[in-house]
Parts: sequence; C-alpha cells; structure tokens
Amino acid sequence: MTKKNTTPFYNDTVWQLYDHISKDLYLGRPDMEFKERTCNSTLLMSLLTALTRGKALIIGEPGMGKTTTAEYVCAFFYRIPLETVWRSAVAGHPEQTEEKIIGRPDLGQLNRGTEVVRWSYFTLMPTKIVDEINRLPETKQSLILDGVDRGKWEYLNTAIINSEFCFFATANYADRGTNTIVAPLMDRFDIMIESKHPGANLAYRIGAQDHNGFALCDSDVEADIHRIITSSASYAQQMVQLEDVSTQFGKDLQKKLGVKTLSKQDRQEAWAQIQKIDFDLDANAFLRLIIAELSFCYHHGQKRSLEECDRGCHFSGYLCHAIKNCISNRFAMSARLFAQAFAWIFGDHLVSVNHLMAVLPYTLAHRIQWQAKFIAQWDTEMRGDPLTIYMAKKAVGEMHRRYAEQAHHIKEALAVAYRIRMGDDLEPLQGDHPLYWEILKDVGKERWEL
Amino acid sequence: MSNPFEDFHPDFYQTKKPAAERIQKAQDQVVGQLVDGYLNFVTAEIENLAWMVEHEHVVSVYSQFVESIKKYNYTTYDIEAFCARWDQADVLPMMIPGPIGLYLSALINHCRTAEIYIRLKDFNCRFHFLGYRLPENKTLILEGDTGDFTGAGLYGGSLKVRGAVRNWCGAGMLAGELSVTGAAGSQVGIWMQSGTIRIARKANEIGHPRYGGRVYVKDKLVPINTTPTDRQQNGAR
Repeated sequence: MTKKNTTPFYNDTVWQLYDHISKDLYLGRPDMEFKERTCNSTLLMSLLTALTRGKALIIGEPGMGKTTTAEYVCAFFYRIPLETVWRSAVAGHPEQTEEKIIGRPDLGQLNRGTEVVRWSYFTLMPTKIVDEINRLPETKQSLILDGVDRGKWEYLNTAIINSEFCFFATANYADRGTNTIVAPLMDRFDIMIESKHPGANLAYRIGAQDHNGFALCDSDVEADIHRIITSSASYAQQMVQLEDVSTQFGKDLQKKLGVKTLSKQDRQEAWAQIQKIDFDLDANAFLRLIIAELSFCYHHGQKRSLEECDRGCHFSGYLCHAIKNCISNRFAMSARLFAQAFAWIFGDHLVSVNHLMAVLPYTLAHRIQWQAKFIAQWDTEMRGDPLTIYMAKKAVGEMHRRYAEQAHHIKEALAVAYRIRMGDDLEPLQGDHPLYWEILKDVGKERWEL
Repeated sequence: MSNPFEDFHPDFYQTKKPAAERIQKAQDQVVGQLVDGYLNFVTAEIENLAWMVEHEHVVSVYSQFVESIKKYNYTTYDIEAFCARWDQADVLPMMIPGPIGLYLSALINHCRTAEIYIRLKDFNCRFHFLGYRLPENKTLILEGDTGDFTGAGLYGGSLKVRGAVRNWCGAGMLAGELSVTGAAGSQVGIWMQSGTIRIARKANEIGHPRYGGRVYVKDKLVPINTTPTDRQQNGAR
C-alpha cells in the first residue's frame, strides 16, 4: 500500500510560508507538536485549508487575528495582493444582500435590454473570506451554502463554478449581534480552529515592531486584477489572466521577502500528491470506529437529532450516548483530506493514526452537538481550548483508547467481513463496539440480541 | 455494490485465525501424521494378526513403532486426539485393538512430557498394552478402564490407572510402579521381575510364575509363590 512518490514534494515551500507568516505576521504560541516540530494549530490548519481547497471556520475573541490569518494565508498561497483579498472578503452583517455577496445585473447592459451578471470579487476570486459570518442572519447564510460547498454560484440565469478555491469564515463568540450558524453551513466547514490570544509577551510585541505585511500590498497588481475581474471576458479567460498576474506577483514577493510561493501548477501537483496518500490499516480502521461511534444508535438504527437516546442502552458508555446528532458524511471527507494533507506536509507517504489524531479534533469540534449533561461535566475541567474543541479532543482521546484496546480484533473483523462479502462462509467476528454492529449490517446478518 | 471492506483485502491484511482454530488445525495435522504412520504399518502387517500372543513379535512391532514415530513432533494432547480418532474409526485396520496399544505406548514413552494424562473414560473402546515399557521418570495417568496387558514390560515408570484393568496387567514388568484404583482381571503380574503392582480392589487371579517384585491387592502383599488356586484369598469370587 505504501507509495513512494518520485515527484517533488512542495511541503518545504509550505513550511517556508508557515515560518514566514508565524515569524512576522501572525504571532501565536505553538500549541501542537508532531514529529518533534512544534507549531501553531491555527496557522498550520489555515495553510492546510488553502492547500486542500478546504473550508475553515476561525473562531475567537475580537482582535485575535482571525481575519488576518486568513488574509495572509490567502495572499501568499494564491499570490494575490492584500488589497484584492480585502476586496474579495464579505463582511457578515444583517444588511448583506445576494447582490453584494454573489453578483448583480450589469445596469448599463440592463438599460440596453441585455441581462448580464457582474459577479462579485468574492464569487470570482479563489480566495473567499466571510468576516464575522455569524452576524449574517440565518436566512442569508443559506445564500452561500451551495457556493461554499461546491464552488457553484448562481445569479439570475447564469452560473459559474470555481475550479479552485478555499473558503475562510471568521466568527466571534456569541453576543447580542450574532446569530446561530445554521447546521448545514456549519457542517460544510472542514475544520474549526480558534485564533487564540498569543500571551502577554507576544502580544506586547505586536505593533511595537515593524512587520512586512505591507509587502503583500501592491496597488499596481491590484489594479491589474481589478481590470481582469471587471472585464467582459469569460470566467475561464479571467482565471488565465489572473494566473499571469499572480505569477508576476509571486516573483515580486520572492524578490522582496525571499519567500517562495506556489504557482497554480505547483498547487495542483501538491493537491494531486495529497490525494494519493493512502491510509494505513490502523488509520483506516480507527476512522471507521469513530464514524461508527458517532453515528450509531442501537435502538433507532442511527443517530437522529430529534430522537432521545435510551437511558438503559448497552452502549451508554460510548459517545453515541453523549451526542445528539449523527455525524455527517462530510466529516469523513474532511478527516480524510486533512489527515492526508497533514501527512503530506510532514513528508509522510502514508496516513497513520497519529496524523488522524492531530486533525480529528478540528474536523469534529463544530460537527458534534453534545448532550447538556456532558457539556456540564466537561465545562468545569481545566483546559486551554474553547469548550467545543476541548470536548472534541477528549472524545478523540477516548475513542483512540478504545481503538488501541482492540485494534487487532477490529482489523480482523473488517478482514473477515471482506471475505464474507466475497462469498466465504464465515461468521462475523463479535465485539463490544458499535463498529461490530455496523459490520454485521454490512455483511447482511441480523444484529444480535444483547 | 462495492465491497466496503475492500481495504482489508487479504493482499493488504492477512487474517490471523483465532487461536483455537490455529491450534486445532496444527493438531489435526500432527494427528493425521500419527494415524497415517500407524495405518501404513498395520496395513502391511494385517495378515499377522496372531502376533499378539507372541512375545518376540510384540517386541519387534513395538521397536518398529518406535522407529516410525521418531520423526513426529507431537504432544500429549496429540496422543489424546489420536485415541479419540481411533475410538471413532470406521476403517478395519484402525479397529484392530492389539497394535494400537503398542503404538500408543511407543508414543507415550517417547513423548517429551514427563507426566501424561489420558482420559480413557471418554472412549467407547478398550485400549490394550497401555503403559507397555513405560520408562523411568515417566508417569502415565489413565483415567478410566483399560484393556489387557496394561503396564506390561513396565520399565521403571509410574503407571496410575484410575479405573479397572483387564488380564495380564504388569505382565513381564521389569521395574517401576503400577497402581490400579479399581479391580484387575487374571494373570496379574505374570512373569514380572521387579517393581510394584498395587490393586486397590479385587484381582481375579495373580499371575504365575512371577520372578520378583511385589504385588499388593487391597493393600495386602501377595506372596510371590501365590498360585492360581489362591485367587479366593485375593478377593476373587
């Protein structure tokens, strides 16, 4: 299963970007360690979001650098000047309209009787940022659902589909002006991360020293991009022209800052490399165990947010009892993709349980709706993360413990299930975890009585 | 519909059979070898069924069995499994009761385990010649009744029968100890030269002649000159 890749890995370039941003532009404490390298999870996960064409929700107190992180990552990763990134960002507020977010009719053309859509920067640019997304009313959040999910934007009778884009949204903690992010939109985020306070000593340095963030500004390039975006060329032509301008901007950046950035082709190759990274069998089985535990219900067939968990259930020791909702299929996709990207950036050719463990809390935190009693139970514990991420980390730790206890048996059960599905006359292996029940269902056996 | 367990294809993950299944398979293989070895011999010797009563032939057959089993790596469990196989056998060579006991004795005497336990009461048939030439430092415990010639030619080992024995037990015994918790048939200890035989219950008849050793019946020593006419004294009716 191990694949040795012969094409160059671009992970060094991404690490250079990380180092540059973390040194000069986004000051945050390292809060995760992997392969003897410490890093800041917010910045690293943001870079992985850009790398995987993903969607990230960055939460935190006001002024903690949520938007700044997204802007710098977008600017470096797509070689776009900051001014353009700012123009393409959408501010979340109750008065937002579809015309401001997605596109509007070309009024001049409309007066001449022709219906032509003028797409917004946000729609056209590959870097999409919605600032303070939870200030958008719930009804307006639905405007961007399809676009965020598939890169498909529609206005009047016209539509465009983004070939490559990443999406960042920032959200402050709830206050009088915020709204709930609707579940379908929340689920579309691959990860949720917190931009934390950097601590008094780093915070003291912010603003006290010169930073070269303005090197990312270039009014000439911005004007060129504006000309392209407002031209009547097709979306595809605009993207080709944009890449030409971006290539030049990338060279300028390397000259000014000494930072190498990725061309579109580099990004595509990196993306292809990431997608080729396989899961080892433990990572594979562990992810199955997690999905089983977060979607299983013995009494109702699966978790449903409107159905109460039975108190006397045999599985009350598992997380299916602690949560209200059923984990979505997007979770598995996000976990796979981010684990692959995480392995890639650390130069590994196979996703292991450790890679999964590193990214899982961020892919789970916003997708789990906990039962009130578990929130009350864990809320009082000492922690360094917001409650949602802390609970996700605890949950991942618990599930990992369960996996470690029966890893061999689970892999055996899956291997036996394969043979049963291929027609061998075998009995499925039994065990005390929802995953074994899921296997039974998939091999066409009735579930057992307890 | 595709197989959702494709990643666990045998090319990627080799299932390890459950321990019980693995052990069973290994044991089946060993027992199969033992059965084959025995059948090869008995099929060739089947016309000599009169051998049982000829001392020299018994010795010769035993020696051939010893030679044939040297190449096998077996345990006490395999011996018990072999007994079970024999008990359920429906092929003629396997049903001949005489040589099987000698074969079993050869297996027992050359098994690496010092103390061997065989639960005979689980089997329908009677095994003869069990404990034949049981050597020194070897203990054989038989749970259940045995057939003829139990402990014949005992060679220094300790044979404990938790049940009854039939005729000629301890015949030609050279050394060691044979104890029987039940009754014994006739010719107990015939031709014995040394060692001890203890019969806890009655003995039908003490063998004659005896050249040495001690025979106890119901904890009473039976003098060496005891003749068949003394059988009433030894508890026989």
